[in-house]
Amino acid sequence: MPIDVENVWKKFRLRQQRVHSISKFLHEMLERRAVSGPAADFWALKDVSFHLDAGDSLGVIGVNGSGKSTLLKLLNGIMRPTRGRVSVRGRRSALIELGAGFHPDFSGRENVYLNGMILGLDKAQIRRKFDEIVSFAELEQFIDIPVKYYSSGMYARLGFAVATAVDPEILIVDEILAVGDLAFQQKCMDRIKKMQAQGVSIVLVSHGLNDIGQICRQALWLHKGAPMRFGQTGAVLDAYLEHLGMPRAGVGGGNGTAVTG
Amino acid sequence: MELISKFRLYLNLTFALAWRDVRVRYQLSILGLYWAIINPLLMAIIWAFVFSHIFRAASLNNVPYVVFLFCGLTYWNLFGNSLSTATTSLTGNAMLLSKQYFPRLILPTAAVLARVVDFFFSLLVLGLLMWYFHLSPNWNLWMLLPLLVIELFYTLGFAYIVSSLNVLYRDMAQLVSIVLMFWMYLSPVFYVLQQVPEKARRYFMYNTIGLLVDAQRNIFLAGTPVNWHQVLVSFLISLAVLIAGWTLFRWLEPLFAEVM
Repeated sequence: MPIDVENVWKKFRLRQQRVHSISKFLHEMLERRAVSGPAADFWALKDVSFHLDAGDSLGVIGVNGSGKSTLLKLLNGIMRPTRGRVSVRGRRSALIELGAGFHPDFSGRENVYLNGMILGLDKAQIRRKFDEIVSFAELEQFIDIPVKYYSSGMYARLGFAVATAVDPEILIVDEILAVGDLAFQQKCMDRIKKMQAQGVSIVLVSHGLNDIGQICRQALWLHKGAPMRFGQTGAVLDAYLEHLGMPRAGVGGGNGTAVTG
Repeated sequence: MELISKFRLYLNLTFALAWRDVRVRYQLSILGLYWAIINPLLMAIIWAFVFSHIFRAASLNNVPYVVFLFCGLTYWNLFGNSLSTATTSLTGNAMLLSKQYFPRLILPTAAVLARVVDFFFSLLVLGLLMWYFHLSPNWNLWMLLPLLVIELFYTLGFAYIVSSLNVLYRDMAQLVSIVLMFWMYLSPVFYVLQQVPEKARRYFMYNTIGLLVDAQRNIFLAGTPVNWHQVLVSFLISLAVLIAGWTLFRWLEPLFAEVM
C-alpha cells in the first residue's frame, strides 16, 4: 500500500525556556539555574494508524491543535515519528505553504526549475512541462521577472502549478483551496479531481468540510492527537459535526452538499 | 538503478543550489559575476603596492611577498569562506526545509561548492599576478589536484558540523567567525612554517588545514617535492573529519524540522 501508518506517536518537548544560544547557556550556568526549564512532554499524535490504497483519498479533520499538521509533516517525510512506523511509497508532492521555497530575487522561470528539482524532476522533464506550468499559473507575462514583485496570489498560483506538475503518486494537501480568487480555486479543485481520476492518492487536511466531502472517500478525525474515528467520509463527518454541536448536514461522500462553517 | 537516479538527481540539485548561491552573491550588481574576479584583483593590486613599496617585505619562497600571500589566502579562503557561508546554509533556508524532504546534507555541500567557484576565480588572478612578476608554474602542478580534494574533504566535514550545530545554537555563526580569524593567524598563511619558533612548531604540525595551505603553496610557487607521508596523514585526518561531520549531521537531522 502506498501509505502505511502504524501506531504512530509523536512527542514534542515543551520547554519553558529552551536555550537558543551558547551565551545564554553560560549565563544560566552562572546563575545556577536549570539549564533548560522543566521539560514537559507534549504528545501531538497518540497511537494513530491507517492505511491508504493506491488511488484512494483521505481527509483529515479536527479542531485546531488536533495534530493534523504534525501528521502531514510525518507523511511528507520532514519529521519522523517518536514511536511507530510511517511508510509512504511513491513520489509525493505536497501543497503546503505554496511557493514557500521560492527565492525572491530570482525570476519565476528560475524558481520553477529549482523547485521542480527539489520535488524530484530533472531538467529535461521540467523543460517539457514548463509551458504547461506557466499557462496553468496564468503568469505568461510575468514569468521572467523576480518573484518578489509577484502578488501573494501569483506566488501561490505558481507554487500550485509546480507542485502538481511533477506527476506525484501521492498528493499531500494542506488547506489548499484558499489560493487566489474563486475562479482559480475552482481550477485547483478541478486539477485535484483530475489527478484523483488518474489514480493519484490524496491526503487532504482542511477545515472546509465541503472540500473533504467532495474529494475524499475516507476520513480521519483527530482530537488532541488521538484518532476519534476513521472510515467512510460521510459517517466520520456526521460524527464530527455532532461532536461540534452542529446539525448533521448529510455531507455525502462525492455528492458535495454544501456545508458552511 | 533507483538509487543511481536518486543520486544523480541529488547531485544536480546540489549543483543548482550552489549556482544559485553564486548568483545571489553577484546578480544584483551591475558588474555581476565580474566582481568575482575584480574583488581579488583589487586586493592583489593594493597588496602589491603596500608590500613592495611601503613595507618592502622580503621575498618568501623566492617569490615576491604579495604573490606568496595571495596564494596562501586563495587556499585559506576556500576553507574559511566555505565555513562561514555553510554555517547559515540550513537556518537561512528554513523555508526550503519546511516543504519537501530531500537530504539536508545538500545545503551545506552546495554552500561549499559555491565557494569553489570563487576559489577558481582567485586562482585566475593568481595566474595574472605570476605572469606580471614573470614567474612560471612548474611541472609538479598536477599534485595540486589530490591536495585540493583533501582540503575539500576537510572543509565539508567542518561545514556539516557547524551548519547542523547552528540550527540548535544560533550563535554558532559568531563563534565560527572568531575561531576562523584565530585559526587563520595561527596557520602558515602570512608566513612559512620555518619562521615559527622551533618550540612551537610541533604544535603547528597538528593544524591540518595549515599544512595543506603550506603544501599547496609550496607546490604552486616553488615546485617543492611533495612530502608523501604528510599528504597521507592529512588525507586520513580529513577523511576522519568528513566522516565525523557526516555522522553528527545525520544524527542531528531529525531535530531540524522540530527546532526551526
